[in-house]
Amino acid sequence: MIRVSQLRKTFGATVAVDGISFEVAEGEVVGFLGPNGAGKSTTMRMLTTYLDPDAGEIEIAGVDVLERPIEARRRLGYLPESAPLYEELGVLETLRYAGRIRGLGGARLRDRVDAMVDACGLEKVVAKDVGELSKGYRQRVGLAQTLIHDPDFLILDEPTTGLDPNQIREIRALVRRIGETKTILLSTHILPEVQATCSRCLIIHDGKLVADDDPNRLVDATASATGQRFRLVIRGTTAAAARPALKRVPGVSDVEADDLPDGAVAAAVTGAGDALGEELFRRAVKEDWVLAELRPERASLEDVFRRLTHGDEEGDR
Amino acid sequence: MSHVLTVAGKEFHCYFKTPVGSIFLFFFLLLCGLFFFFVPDYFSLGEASLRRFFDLLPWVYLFFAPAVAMKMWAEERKIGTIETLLTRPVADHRIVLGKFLASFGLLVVALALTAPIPLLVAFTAASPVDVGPVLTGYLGAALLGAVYIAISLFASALTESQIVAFILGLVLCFFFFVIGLPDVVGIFPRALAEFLTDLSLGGHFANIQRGVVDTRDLLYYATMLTVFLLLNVLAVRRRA
Ligand SMILES: Nc1ncnc2c1ncn2[C@@H]1O[C@H](COP(=O)(O)OP(=O)(O)OP(=O)(O)O)[C@@H](O)[C@H]1O
Ligand SMILES: [Mg+2]
Repeated sequence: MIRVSQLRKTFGATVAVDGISFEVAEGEVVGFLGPNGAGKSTTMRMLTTYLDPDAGEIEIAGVDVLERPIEARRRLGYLPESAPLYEELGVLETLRYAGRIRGLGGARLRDRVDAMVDACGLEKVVAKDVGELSKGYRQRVGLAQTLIHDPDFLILDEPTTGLDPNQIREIRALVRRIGETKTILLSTHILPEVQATCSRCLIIHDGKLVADDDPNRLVDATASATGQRFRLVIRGTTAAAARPALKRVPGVSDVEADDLPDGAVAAAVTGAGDALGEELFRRAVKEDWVLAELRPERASLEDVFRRLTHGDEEGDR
Repeated sequence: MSHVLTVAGKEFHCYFKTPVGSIFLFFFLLLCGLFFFFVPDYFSLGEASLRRFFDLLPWVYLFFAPAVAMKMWAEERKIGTIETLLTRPVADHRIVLGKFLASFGLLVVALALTAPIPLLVAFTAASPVDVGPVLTGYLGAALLGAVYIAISLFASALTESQIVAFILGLVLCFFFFVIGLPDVVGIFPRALAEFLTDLSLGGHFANIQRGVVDTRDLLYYATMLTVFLLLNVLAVRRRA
């Protein structure tokens, strides 16, 4: 169990973390979501004893982190942002060093290193130095050294940032596998990541917690608040003609339409009403369009995010 | 203790994993050799004096110590490994001690590699060379080096730039060395001059060079070492 209450941290005039409280139960995989500068890393640094909070309490597995930091560190595995590693060390040297400094030695150390090479898929790179590895492999080595002492609690700061889609998929699978037996708090701003890996998500913005819920429930709540969205691809018309025609469909509140290079029109329609899809189909028939695609779009966590943190994000982009 | 050795072992290993450690050693020996044999001309003096070797060591250290220590903390901060390092269940002072031992180890290796110089002197000297002063000279050199390393390591903990760490280390070491030189001390009033000599690295080194191992000098080195290692721990605790 991770228990955080009223955590606060300021850097000069910047309030990085502003009174955050949450709990992570044993065995949960919780996503920590927020835009750049929201305070995710700062919170994790306090959880892992790297930074001292200005105020607040942290408890991990019943251990008061601020009072007994060394004891708390024993139970934790922490993968900092961008998985920093010593470039000049070899992959095995890295894992052995991580193990030794955690008090492992002899046969136990050998077993753990082997197990980590196996679990994190490092067989192909065991002979290499960290400096020679691709970003994906570095991340795996980072995870392996985080897991070397078999901690029950894992704090992973953006474990998939900067990876290509294949690597992202692999790391997510790895995290899911690890998550079967461990308690994980992982931060990200790749939004679908939370849906892919987490059973619960905490959304943080400007140092404050703005949501704490099942990611799918958050998505549903957003859908009913902002309406449904459909994507269409239409042939036999132009964007200029389709736009007003779609706008006249009952229930439609917003229409975006663009001409595609192949002559078709791509449109995104937002509106309310259970029969919106049928209404759109009927309109297409009436206008004599060929409907190449009509697809309801689930609200993404991105929408959730925008709703919770209000448009101040959009202004920045 | 085992944590200290683990850290020290890793850092020492890293010196030689890349050519860096060997390069430091090479330049250390090169500088020692150049100073010793050519400034002033060893061969024209006709007589070899080990005094001169120990005299020039503090000047070589001035570059060597900041160079071998500059990476220790600055690089950890820069690439972020400091976060992993300081969130493992090891007390900060053990890590500081481990890093110190690694750098000091390299300095001891460097000193050991200068052994041909006293040997050469022994073979070419007209009268037999006394072993005692040579050994105390080396002892003093090691102690002096330890303090230089501790100062440089502290400098490294203050910044995330290795260059800044090097320059800062050099300036600090230089300061503690020159405040005791006779030419410098001469410009100050008597009482202050004595205080500065006592505080300076050079003043105490001079005693040991003469073959006198005084507890006061040992105490001085131990104090300086402790102070700078403690400052190092404090600098490391300053996280942000
Ligand atoms: N060491 C520091 N010194 C000063 N300000 C800091 C420091 N660390 C973080 N901050 C500030 O605190 C705020 C929160 O930063 P933090 O790194 O926690 O955000 P984040 O959510 O992890 O962002 P990202 O997604 O970019 O990693 C930011 O405004 C940042 O500029
Ligand atoms: Mg961050």
